[in-house]
Amino acid sequence: MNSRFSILAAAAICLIACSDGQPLRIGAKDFAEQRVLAEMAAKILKDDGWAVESVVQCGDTYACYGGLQAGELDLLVDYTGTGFVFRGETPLSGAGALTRLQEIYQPMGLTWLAPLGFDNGYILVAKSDSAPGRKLTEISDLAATADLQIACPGEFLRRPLDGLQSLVQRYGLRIRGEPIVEEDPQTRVAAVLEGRAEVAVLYGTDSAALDPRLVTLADDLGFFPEYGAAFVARTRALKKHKGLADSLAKLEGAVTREAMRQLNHAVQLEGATPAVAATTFLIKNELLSNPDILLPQTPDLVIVTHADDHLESFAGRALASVRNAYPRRTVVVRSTPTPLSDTQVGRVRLTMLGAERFFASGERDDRVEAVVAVGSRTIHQLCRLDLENVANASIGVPPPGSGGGIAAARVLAVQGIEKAFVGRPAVLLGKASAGDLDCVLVLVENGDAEVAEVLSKGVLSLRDLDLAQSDLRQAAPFLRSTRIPAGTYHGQLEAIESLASQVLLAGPGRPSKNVEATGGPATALPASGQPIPADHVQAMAAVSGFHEAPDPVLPSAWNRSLSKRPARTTGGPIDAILNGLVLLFLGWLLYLVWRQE
Amino acid sequence: MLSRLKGKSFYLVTVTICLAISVWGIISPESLGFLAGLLTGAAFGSLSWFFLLSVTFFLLLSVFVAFSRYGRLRLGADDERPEFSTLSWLGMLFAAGMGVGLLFWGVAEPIIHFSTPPTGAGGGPDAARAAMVQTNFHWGIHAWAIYAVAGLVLAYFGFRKGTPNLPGAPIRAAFKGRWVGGVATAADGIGVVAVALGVAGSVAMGVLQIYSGLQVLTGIPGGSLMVTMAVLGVLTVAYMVSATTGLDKGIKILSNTNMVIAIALMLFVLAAGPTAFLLDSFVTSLGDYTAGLVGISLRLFPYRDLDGWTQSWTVTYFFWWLAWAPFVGVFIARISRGRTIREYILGVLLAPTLFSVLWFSVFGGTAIFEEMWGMGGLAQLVNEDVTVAVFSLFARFPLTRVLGATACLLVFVFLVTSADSATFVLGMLTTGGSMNPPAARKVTWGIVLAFMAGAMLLTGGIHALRAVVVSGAVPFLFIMLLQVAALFRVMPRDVRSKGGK
Repeated sequence: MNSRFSILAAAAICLIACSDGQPLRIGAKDFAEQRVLAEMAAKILKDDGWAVESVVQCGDTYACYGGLQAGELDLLVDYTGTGFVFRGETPLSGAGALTRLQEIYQPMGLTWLAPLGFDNGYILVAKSDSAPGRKLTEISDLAATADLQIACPGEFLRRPLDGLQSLVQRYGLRIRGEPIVEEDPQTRVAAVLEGRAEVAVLYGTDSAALDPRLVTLADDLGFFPEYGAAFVARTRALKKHKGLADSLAKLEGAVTREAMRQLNHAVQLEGATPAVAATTFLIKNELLSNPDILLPQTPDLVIVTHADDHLESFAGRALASVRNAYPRRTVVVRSTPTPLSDTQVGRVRLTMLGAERFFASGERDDRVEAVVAVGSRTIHQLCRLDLENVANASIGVPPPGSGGGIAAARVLAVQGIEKAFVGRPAVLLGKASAGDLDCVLVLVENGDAEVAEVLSKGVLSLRDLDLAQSDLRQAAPFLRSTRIPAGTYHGQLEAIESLASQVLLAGPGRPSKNVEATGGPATALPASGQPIPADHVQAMAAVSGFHEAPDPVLPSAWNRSLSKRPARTTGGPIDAILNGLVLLFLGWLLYLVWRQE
Repeated sequence: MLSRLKGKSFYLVTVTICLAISVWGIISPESLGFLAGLLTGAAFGSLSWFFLLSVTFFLLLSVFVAFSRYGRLRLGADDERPEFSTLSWLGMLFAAGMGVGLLFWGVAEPIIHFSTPPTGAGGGPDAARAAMVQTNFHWGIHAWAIYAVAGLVLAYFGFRKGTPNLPGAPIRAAFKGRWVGGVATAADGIGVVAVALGVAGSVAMGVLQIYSGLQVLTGIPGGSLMVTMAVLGVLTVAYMVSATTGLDKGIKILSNTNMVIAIALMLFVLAAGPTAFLLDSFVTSLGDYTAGLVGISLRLFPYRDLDGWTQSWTVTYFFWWLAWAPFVGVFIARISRGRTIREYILGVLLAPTLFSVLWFSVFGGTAIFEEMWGMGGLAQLVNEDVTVAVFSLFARFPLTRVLGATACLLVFVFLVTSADSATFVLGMLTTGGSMNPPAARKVTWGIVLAFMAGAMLLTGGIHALRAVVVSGAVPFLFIMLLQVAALFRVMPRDVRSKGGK
């Protein structure tokens, strides 16, 4: 009796105290995503002129709903799945979910508003290039794998309806006895990337899922219930503050899963405050009508390539590398006729090029230094099927300005061939197919689509390019002996001897002469770009998807410390002489001051 | 033989040397850079201890002189009184300290030391404190000790002994012997070359900053040699006009206005930025700097294999100040006539130092605040190109474009006024210390300065440039030590004779 009375009294007091003039209070559960979303709501509401108190940390789901019902909070972001479980119902998915939630929350005096646009339910991720020829796109694809190893959080083992056991039964998976249990999503992802597990269980908005080497498997049977994010508001607050729902509706569908991952990443790994991350997001998406600050303008990070090099197929890996090192920069790839000098003078930050470009003119070009290898290309020698002797054949090579042209010219020079037809690779392949040329040399990635198509016509075949690497050491140190594996192209039964050259990202080089200065006031004169710092090199290498370090014959950030650092100059004769002279000078000065006249 | 090099022939020889350096730089930057790099590389590698110790010695010396019995001597006749009121004198000292360097490095240097400190991990609170101390060490009391000593020697001999305003004059006045004439003339020549290289280096730096500002403001593409040279051209025309037409009064007004705008800019950043944080950081920096002065003054990192770092930052800065010493020394000597040595030293050491600590606390502090609690991303940009530092900080403030344009204008006017004074000082140094050098000489020096700055911009070899600027200043350090010896040869006699009266 007494306690009921006190509740009533508290409610009555609140009716008075909580009514007019009271700023809106937004709750956030105790994890980063909640704080970002609460800050986002606060910003949006302030932008529309609502009085908003700073975001309130309300603890776990129970505490937060308690706060909402007691009128201590007005607004909260929650997930549909959580909403059902909290009321003891089986989670629903799809369009009916929100309607059902409205029904079951109405008696509590709470209203579910429009969804924000992302689903934070469980997802399964796998390595995007798990195995050649076997592509994983949906969870059903896993059924083909025996002895599946899964990395998941401990809770996932215990969950009755959407946990591991149910997942395995629903999809008919064959898993190994014990799953890898790791609470940290990054560790689970690492297990997948290192091959210890085939798939990892993550939340949809875990920033760990941003790793470009991962692919999210589609839940093709709709097994996992949705955990769509939406605002939950006190119905009374909505009634009192007319238009509040309209203001919040601006965020309806505005936050994609990808965007939420980025926001979580910014807060959890880059140390941005939730408020800053939220504001940045709102300004970028033009959701604020009166932004009170300007976003810092960071120039695009430009990677240049030579148009004739046709490196488009490597651009994906290069972009992934660069984005990992510069997560907040917009990265663009452009072409230029002078990639090396543009990079050297700092006009652009990076260039993507084949190793051959470092040796375009006899001597090694140190204007840029290799940062990370993103792949490798192989010289493909394609000749007419009926050609018996390659020696006197008419040969086509790419233009001298292109990477392929540089490599092909060196190969011809070593073989002593002087005459060759010059044309763009597509033209060469066409002419050879038509019988106008006996052989062509093109520099492409193994399995290149264009070459595959030409070979499939059955007019041309791959021929061994059997040159000893020792012959090439002078003429083409960037080429490495290699074999194009059997079966790379349709109908190719044997491995083909050939030569390969790395494809790399390179940044401005370091001056090779003079004092080695590492910064300092004189670097203020940026007539040349600054070399890429070591930690950025590491970050790029981590995700390039190509594990080899740059070829040691190239100037590179990797062998910098070996080649450039001179030994300390202590103990040399010059050292002793200079110091002796200085001491003599100082002695002379003392004599000048104190001598008697 | 060297001592016979006087008047017109001294002028012609020094102009020829400077022109030759710039022509060499234009024709074959590689070989110039290589030779200069070889010389300074050897000097830096072996003598860092000596350079650092010398600068610290200048500081100890000035403090000693200020508080010893010499402190009561006057820079002028014993009954002379100061020409300027103390307030306007301090104002002028502030102005001498303010320059293009503060705008250039105000944001960049603290953020570089903060993100990539010589020792320890970057980005944390310790790195922030250390960054402010390091920056203040480079820009604070040591720099002003160099200027104070350079000015003190000139003022003492000039105003008490009536010698001309030349680096060699104290040597001529204090010592006797066959070597004196030659060494003194060499000192005069080294002073000229050091000033010319130092000022041209700063002009080159300023041109790049203006270009960077134009890039941010108007969106013109970067890295164009044409634009760089055009900016240099406009700048040259501006300071030549002011140097030749005797717009002395106009220049003075321009310079004062610039000073006021710079302070207004700082106050705006202070007010619009995290004000309380910045003032906290000012007080903390002041404390950290004062407390750490002894340790940092004598720190070379020999056990960490970081001597390269010290050479390219600390020692290079000190030589930059040494290169400017004959130039700034003339100015502060002239405005300090009639003050006691004690007043002079305390004023010169403390007033500009306080100002630069405040400046770096405001600009560097805002940048560090942005990096630690704000949007971040500045350090990355600055690591790619230091010239954008101040502009990318302004991008986080309201009125971005107005601030950017103001900064550009400030740099431009600072360059015009300092290049204008440099033509005057070079003219003076090459006419036997005359306070009224003929216009023709000033014009010639103006052109030579433009050539040297152009050559520095053209070479593209930053290391070469650094080496060249430093090669002018290294010999001047030895001259300054000789000047100090001269001072201590003469000053005790003056005190004794005064006491005997």
